[in-house]
Amino acid sequence: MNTKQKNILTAVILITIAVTIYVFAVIRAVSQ
Amino acid sequence: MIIRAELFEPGMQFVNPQFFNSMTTMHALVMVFGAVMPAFVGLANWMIPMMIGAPDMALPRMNNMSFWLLVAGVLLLASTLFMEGGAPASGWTLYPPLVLQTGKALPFAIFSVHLLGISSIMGAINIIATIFNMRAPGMTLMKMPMFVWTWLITAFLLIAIMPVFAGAVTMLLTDKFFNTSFFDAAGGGDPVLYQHIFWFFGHPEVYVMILPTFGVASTIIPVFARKPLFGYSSMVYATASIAFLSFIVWAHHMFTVGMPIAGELYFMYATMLIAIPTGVKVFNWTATMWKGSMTFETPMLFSIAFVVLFTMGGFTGLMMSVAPVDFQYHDTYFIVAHFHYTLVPASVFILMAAGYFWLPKWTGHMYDERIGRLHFWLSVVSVNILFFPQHFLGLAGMPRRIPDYAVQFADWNMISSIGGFIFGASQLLFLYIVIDTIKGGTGEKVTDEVWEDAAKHSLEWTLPSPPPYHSFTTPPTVIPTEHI
Repeated sequence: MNTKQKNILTAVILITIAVTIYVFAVIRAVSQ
Repeated sequence: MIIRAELFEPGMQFVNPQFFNSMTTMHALVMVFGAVMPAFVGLANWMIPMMIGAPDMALPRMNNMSFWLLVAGVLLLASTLFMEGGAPASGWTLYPPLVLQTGKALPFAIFSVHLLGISSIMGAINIIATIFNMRAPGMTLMKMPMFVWTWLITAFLLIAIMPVFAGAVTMLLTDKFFNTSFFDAAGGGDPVLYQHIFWFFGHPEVYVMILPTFGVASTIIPVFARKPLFGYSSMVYATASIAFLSFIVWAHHMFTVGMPIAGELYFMYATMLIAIPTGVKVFNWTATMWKGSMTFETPMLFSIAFVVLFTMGGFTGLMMSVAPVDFQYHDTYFIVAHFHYTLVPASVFILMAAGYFWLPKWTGHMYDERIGRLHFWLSVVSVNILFFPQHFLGLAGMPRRIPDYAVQFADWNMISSIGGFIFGASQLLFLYIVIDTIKGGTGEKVTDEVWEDAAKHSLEWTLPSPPPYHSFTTPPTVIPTEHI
């Protein structure tokens, strides 16, 4: 895997984490 | 300036109360999201590739989008000032139900927060990708300069917290326009829930502004003390500890909402724990200077002022962490004094220190040291005239976010305003110095290293001044280790 592919993979993983946190925060508030 | 002019003396002078509250709200949002954070992201974008021996940042298109979303977000936020009903006037916390009374500006303000959040997340992703994937051979994690370390940790903080804030303001939006009741007691919701969500974001957010500050101070102080940074690895672990603790102390901002006593105690003790890694850092900076061959150029002067004045802000924070005592301080000018000490003579001073430190590297010209020192002394004296009296006002009971006050608070408010005007005017000197240095400064061409033996501390000083467009097109062969 070259550096460019590693960079894109890192970005995809981090974006997934950010979106998951966003969805989790709203779902937790809905369930309160 | 409008805020301090209005508070110069009791009574209403220049603006109406609604506009005054809009000013405090916009001041905070613009300083947090439009000034301090972008300034540190800018430093990260410029310095991290040079410090780790990379040619440039990892994801240029994402970086570009991050920057232009920031511009769009700040302009959208500023535009709310001209909308029917005025800009939001609920403070930067945007607490419901007050914020839901905002006029036409509310959806625009919320959208601007979303844009600024997306911009921050994209910037953070880029920083993490650059540090993880583009370090020069031999630049192991525990050889990275502290500025790079602090930004790596800050970037993870940003990715963890910005979506939470985005979630909170989205719920405000649906409460206002789509008949939900997340924060509306009449519909079964709870406004205190918003406070919990906001501060789960808000407390780490203040560390987003202070951790890179620590990183720059840890970079500058060893160069002018001519010694390695004392306790490099303890600095790294202290930074990580502060970041971890920032997630488990949020409710110390809301001791007065009526929490169970066990909650108050937990958040009180957890908050006090932060003093330990922060104390480690202050000790390390002091020990770095101890018996060093110190010189006092402008970047070092600002850094020393940071260590002293940030410690004062830290101590008042420790005072407020004591829950029963916080009932007295809550929502008073004591809080305003506390966080301004941790943000202005800390983050803002260190941003200016960074400017003086790297300006010769960026431009190839030396700034005028005489005017730099004048700028420092005017700033350090006036910032204390501005914020120190606010401790007295807060302890005497003056509430924050009010345009008018009882006559007993008049004297210290007048002194504070005078300090504010001098501090504001002094910053014009910095603007002058930056422009003057770009145009040629003292006329003295600086060396690659600029400061004595700086290249032993970090890689950027091995590049020409100014550095080439792409910094390290071939990886460096020698990794500096003086900083560890």
